[in-house]
Amino acid sequence: MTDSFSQIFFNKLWEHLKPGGRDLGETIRSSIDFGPVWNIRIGDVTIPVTGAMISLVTSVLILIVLALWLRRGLRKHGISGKQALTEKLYLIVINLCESFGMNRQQAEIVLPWTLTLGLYIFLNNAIAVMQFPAPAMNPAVPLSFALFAVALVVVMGIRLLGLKGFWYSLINPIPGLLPFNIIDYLIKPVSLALRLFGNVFGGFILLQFVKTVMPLILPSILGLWFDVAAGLLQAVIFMYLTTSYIGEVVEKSNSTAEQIAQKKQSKKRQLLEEKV
Amino acid sequence: MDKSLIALAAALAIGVVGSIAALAISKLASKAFESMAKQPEVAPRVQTSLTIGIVFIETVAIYALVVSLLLIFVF
Repeated sequence: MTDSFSQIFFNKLWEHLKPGGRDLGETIRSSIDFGPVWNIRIGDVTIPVTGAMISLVTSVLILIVLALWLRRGLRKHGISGKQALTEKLYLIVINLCESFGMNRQQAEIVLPWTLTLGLYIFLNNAIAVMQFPAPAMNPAVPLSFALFAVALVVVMGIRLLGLKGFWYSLINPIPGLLPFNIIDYLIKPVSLALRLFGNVFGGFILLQFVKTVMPLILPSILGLWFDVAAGLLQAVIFMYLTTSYIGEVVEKSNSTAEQIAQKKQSKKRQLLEEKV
Repeated sequence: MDKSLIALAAALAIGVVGSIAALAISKLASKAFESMAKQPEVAPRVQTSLTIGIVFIETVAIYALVVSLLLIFVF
């Protein structure tokens, strides 16, 4: 019994590890499966659980554990290595916000949201290296990230500048450009989503190709690049662009306010000259 | 439809756009490095706008990648 079991096991293993010998297109095609892995039944309601959902929840749990670990033992003097790392990360994002035209106070309001979004997307991409399905491979996931990012831009614009300030940002150079500024808000999520989706999906297809052709050592090394490094790059770009959109709103609003103030001043001057 | 034609279309989509995007990024980067060498004091600001420019060019290339992947896996 044991003999036949080990024989079957090694036969299966060899079939899995054998270089080539399988239909390439069919293997890759079958690995793209967005369907539910299992169903949770609560009474009459069935909730389908897809691979993307599992990875999303897992990365949330990792993020929570990481946050709890990082907040232990915070000190003012004689800081530990992890605290120095966190502070460095914090300062980098603050500097990024300030370079896009926000002041320190605004940057500190925006930072928790953008940094969390960036870390979450990074974890979602990097989790693929542990053979979880990368959630961004399903086009619905990057689209929801992008919609959240654009909603964040609008909400932050209203919170930092008030409704009037946000309106000023919409009518920046001249009021006639209002429709184009609104279309801009519709195009932003599409470009954000497609960028993330294309990168992750492309990396996944390439890795599947390598796994099919040469399944021994190469996929794990290439996975470090395509999942972790490219995932980090995409997460940074996503955070960067969200911050730049918020900074753009702030800058546009400031320039419109300046224009209006200048107009008022020149009107006052004209009135004074007429009186004289 | 003929499978070979689809494969050719997918290869052309990513090939043409990829080469042009690479040319665009090289031009952008060379100009940015030139200005950084001329005025090192504005280097951080040039770097920020260089990154944004590269991201926007890369977006076009990734659109082409998405189109060619869709061509392969949908048809």
